[in-house]
Amino acid sequence: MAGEFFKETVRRCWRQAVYWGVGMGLLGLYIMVVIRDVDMLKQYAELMATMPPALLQAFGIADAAAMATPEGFISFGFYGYALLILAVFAVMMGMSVTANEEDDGVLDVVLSLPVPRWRVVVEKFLAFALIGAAITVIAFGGLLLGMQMSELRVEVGRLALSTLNMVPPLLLMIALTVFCGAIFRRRTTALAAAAVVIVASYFINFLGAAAAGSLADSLRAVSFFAYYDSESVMRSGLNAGNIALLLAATAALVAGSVWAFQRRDIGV
Amino acid sequence: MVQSDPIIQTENLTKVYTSRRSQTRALDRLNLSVQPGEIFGYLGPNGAGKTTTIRLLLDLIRPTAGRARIFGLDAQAHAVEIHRRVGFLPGELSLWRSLTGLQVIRHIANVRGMRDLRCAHQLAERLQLDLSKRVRDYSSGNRRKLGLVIAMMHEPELLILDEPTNGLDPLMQQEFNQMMREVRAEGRTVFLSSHVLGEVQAICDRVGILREGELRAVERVERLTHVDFRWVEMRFREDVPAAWRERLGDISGVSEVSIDGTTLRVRLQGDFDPLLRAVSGGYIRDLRVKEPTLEEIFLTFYDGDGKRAAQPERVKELA
Amino acid sequence: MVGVIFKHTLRHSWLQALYWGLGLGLMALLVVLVLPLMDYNKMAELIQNLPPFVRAAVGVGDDLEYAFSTEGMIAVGFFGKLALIFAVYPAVMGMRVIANEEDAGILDVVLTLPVRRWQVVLERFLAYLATLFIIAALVFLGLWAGAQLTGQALDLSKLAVSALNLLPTLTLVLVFTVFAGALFGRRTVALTAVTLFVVGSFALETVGGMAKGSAAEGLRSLSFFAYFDALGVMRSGLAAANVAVLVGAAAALLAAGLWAFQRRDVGV
Repeated sequence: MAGEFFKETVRRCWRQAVYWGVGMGLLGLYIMVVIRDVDMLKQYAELMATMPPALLQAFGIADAAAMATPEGFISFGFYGYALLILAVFAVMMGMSVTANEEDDGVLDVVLSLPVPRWRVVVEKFLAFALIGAAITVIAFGGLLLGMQMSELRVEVGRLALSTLNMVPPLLLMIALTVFCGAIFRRRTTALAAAAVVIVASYFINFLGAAAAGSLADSLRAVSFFAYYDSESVMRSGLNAGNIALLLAATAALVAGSVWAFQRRDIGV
Repeated sequence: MVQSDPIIQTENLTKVYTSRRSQTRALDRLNLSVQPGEIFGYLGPNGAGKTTTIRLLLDLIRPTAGRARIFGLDAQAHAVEIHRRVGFLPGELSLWRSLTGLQVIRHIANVRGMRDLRCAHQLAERLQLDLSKRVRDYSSGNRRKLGLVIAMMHEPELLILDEPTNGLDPLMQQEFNQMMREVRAEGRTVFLSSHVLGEVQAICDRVGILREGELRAVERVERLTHVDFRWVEMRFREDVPAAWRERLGDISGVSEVSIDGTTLRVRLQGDFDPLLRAVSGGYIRDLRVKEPTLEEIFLTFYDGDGKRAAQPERVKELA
Repeated sequence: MVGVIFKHTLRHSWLQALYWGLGLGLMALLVVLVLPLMDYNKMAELIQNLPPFVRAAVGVGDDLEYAFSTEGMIAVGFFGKLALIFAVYPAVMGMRVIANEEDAGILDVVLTLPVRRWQVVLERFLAYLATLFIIAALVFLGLWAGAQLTGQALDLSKLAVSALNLLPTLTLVLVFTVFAGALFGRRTVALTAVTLFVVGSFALETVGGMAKGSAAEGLRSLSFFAYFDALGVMRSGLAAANVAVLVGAAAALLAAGLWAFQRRDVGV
């Protein structure tokens, strides 16, 4: 029956969304509460309060100044690392699409049911995509709650966009792990492959950013972390090009997973 | 049996596993057909290729050569349609350990588009299975029962069961045998693999014997159990003379002569008369004739390098 | 027999440790190779103007001069930035001591052999502990190879001490994972506990480092990452107090784990 794997996966894993979401939300809340105590931000906020916004705009705000805002703090303290933390979730969920069940032998029962293999892959991926998105929503809730507890004003729209910006790379990481699970029969191999790609992407992005103009910088283009760019999203909103690229890569990986999984032997 | 379109038919079905180090021919040019309404036993020792055959039939793995048809449909191209009409119990059943039996059944029923779970409940009741427990808390026998419920709850036209009674207690095995007979009575078909010969003997109509990936024989069970040898045991009033061992061994059709005090045991092929004449000097107190067990027939098929077993034309004729 | 489990575990894990070590060593090598491409002065100048919390988020702290030396950059860019990634190896291996095998039912077989439970756990732990040395050695090798290839005048003893400094931290993560496995019968619960421990510590350290003078800075001492202090170790060698805290915590957790595992039901 169409959608049954999707529904069952959501039914079984929604708690994960809650746990991870609450964890991420607590981190967000913690950061918001901490902001209140950061002296430099306090002074800056007082300065902002005395100046008419039009004047600030007229002078133009340097990047450094833009960073010295609660938004800048959140961008570095939360969004900068959140994706790396969510990578753990993405790999765990991606492994649950086929790899874990294949390794446990459960897939023999599942695939003896009257459903095409592609549906198992696609429905479960979509379920985990939904769960991943739910985590970001709950995390956003944590940030908002923290904002209520802190006196500082943070632009909610920017927070929302930055949170939304986590979704495409999160989906990409899930799809990447699904792809590894679809290609390799062994769970450990799939896990290792997904982990290597994600860590290498993180590393290349960091190395490229550190050594601007070098080979590492040009290699950065192959790292999906480069298209995440949480600081510029916080400053100037979503980058449609980046998002389109990440979503297209996700779609390609899911399609590749379906293709590979459809063709190979199961669990031998 | 009236021949109609076979439910399962394989043509030169072959599966070779290739790894870096070796190549294993798990199944070699299997030609098999299973007729509607029969219980077909698929016999063979561990590693013979039984599970490989089943997984090929279910499109879990793909053949290296040859093909399989179920309900006349190609097993690979029409896997979904076939799965709709098939119930499957794997040899090593793994299920989601954190779900209860009922949750597993519900999920699988939902995937099958089934609304009515009455049949599942009836089966569970019959097998005395408590569905409220989590899979992780089931004993291996109970897990097996849950597997049977899952395989049978949609009343499939074809049941494919891999070592179905593994781990079931004798009472439940009886119940299982009864259930299989009912399935057959309803005109449905069962394909079951086993290395428990008694089980096959009790319920199967025909048996295929597989060894090292090759189908060695296909026989009707009653023909197998009526092969032309039996064990003859005679108890005499006095000790059996040792010289009889040689004397009896010379008689055509008599072999494996063993003497234990007053008891003589021989394997007899062919007529009784030469044996009875040979022992007429003694006073026979008791005489017993035992049909060979399927195990012994089984071992005969597997004897040495499989001389008796290698009868391709016979396989062809019977399959 | 004493030592059999240790040897068996080591025999079956050294190759994986080698892979992990090679991966991390390769990253070390790449970092050192990229260093000459960076214009430290320009970076220091750029960073000087940024708010202190951004500096903390980047990991350079207040001693900008040292942070922007070659050794400082290795400490910040490699050991500091990748701390979370280093923690994955001991977590993965720690799960194998009890949790994975208990879940798979293998522990039932192992624990019916004529060995004491604590002996199984301790010998396996020691084997994985030994593999941590392989990791540290290969990381050092990567740094050394990078220095040789680029001809940079690096203080090799400082690099060696920095690599050695990985051991107490990774040991604590390994022990915590063993402890979680010893305490909980379920693999997923143990895994969740370890993830929470590592990610939570990382968050406390990151936010605490950024929010100087706030309550969050005090909470930082709860994070084991705070005792890792890559930059401090590179500058002034191992801090005995930090090592003592980490090793002490590891010893206490290991003892508690052995005690808990000895008393509880297995595989139910």
